[in-house]
Amino acid sequence: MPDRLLALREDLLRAGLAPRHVERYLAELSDHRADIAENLHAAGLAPEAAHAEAERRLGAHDALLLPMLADRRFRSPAARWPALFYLLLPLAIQAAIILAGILALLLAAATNLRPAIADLGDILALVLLAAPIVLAWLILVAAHRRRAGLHWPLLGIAAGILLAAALRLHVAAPMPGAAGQIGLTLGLPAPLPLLVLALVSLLPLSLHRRLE
Amino acid sequence: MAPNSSPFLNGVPELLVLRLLRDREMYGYEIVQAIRGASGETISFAEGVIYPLLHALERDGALTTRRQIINGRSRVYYSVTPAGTGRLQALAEQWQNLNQTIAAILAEPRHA
Repeated sequence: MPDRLLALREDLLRAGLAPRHVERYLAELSDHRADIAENLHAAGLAPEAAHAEAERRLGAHDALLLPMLADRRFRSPAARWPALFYLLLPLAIQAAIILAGILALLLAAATNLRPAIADLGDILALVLLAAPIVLAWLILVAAHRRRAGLHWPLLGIAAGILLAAALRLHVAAPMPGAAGQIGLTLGLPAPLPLLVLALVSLLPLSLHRRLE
Repeated sequence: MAPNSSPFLNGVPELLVLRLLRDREMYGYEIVQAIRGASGETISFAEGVIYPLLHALERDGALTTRRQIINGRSRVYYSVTPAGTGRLQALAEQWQNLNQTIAAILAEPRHA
């Protein structure tokens, strides 16, 4: 795709248009331009002249940009409600993962997996630590795809990391004469997990900046 | 679906597109060529601006699309829905009323 449409893509995305609309629009523009050039060439115009005329007929940058910006229905939900998309939605997903994990542990405790409940608890603790990292990477990919500012994405990532570092999962295997225990509490985030989570979560950001 | 109040040329591209697509489904390039051909090149515009209009009409439910791969290109074919046909009739009436009014004024302007 030539630079002119690439520049148009950047402007459309930065203006908050949904990536799927942008990609469809650019694909149609690109095919349209190719159709014009092909037909002009078939009619006897030299390839360079046909391409130049196709560019002219397609329209100037602003002529192609402004009608898409004028219709607010083409804006992405992330551009309309960034706090919801980058902060509340990932937190809700993280909370759902925590709840699902605890429910799974409770169900496992009622089956023949009961003797391995402490090991399952360790696995869940790892999952709860990994979840904000995966969510952070998804947030960064979504933000990059939409050329969004990093304000809300970073807040969402910070909130997820804080929640994960503040969670304490206690799983005690049942002993003879004592029932097992599954507990989840919130405490002050421990500095080391907080630092490690933050560094790993923001790794794609640093790699992306290096590649640029 | 009732069209918006269309003073003068607002709504004309929409009217042309709906009218052309009423006869048969077309993709964007075909629609533009059909407008150029039908108007004897009188109506010319930046051809790429047809797509925001087509996408908006599709969003409104006036058009529907299907994709077809032709020569390695994914063509998006547009066709009019029943709601689009209703919108076309309303727009055509509006345009004819406006046309008659202007014709009457040009023929014999009435001053207050």
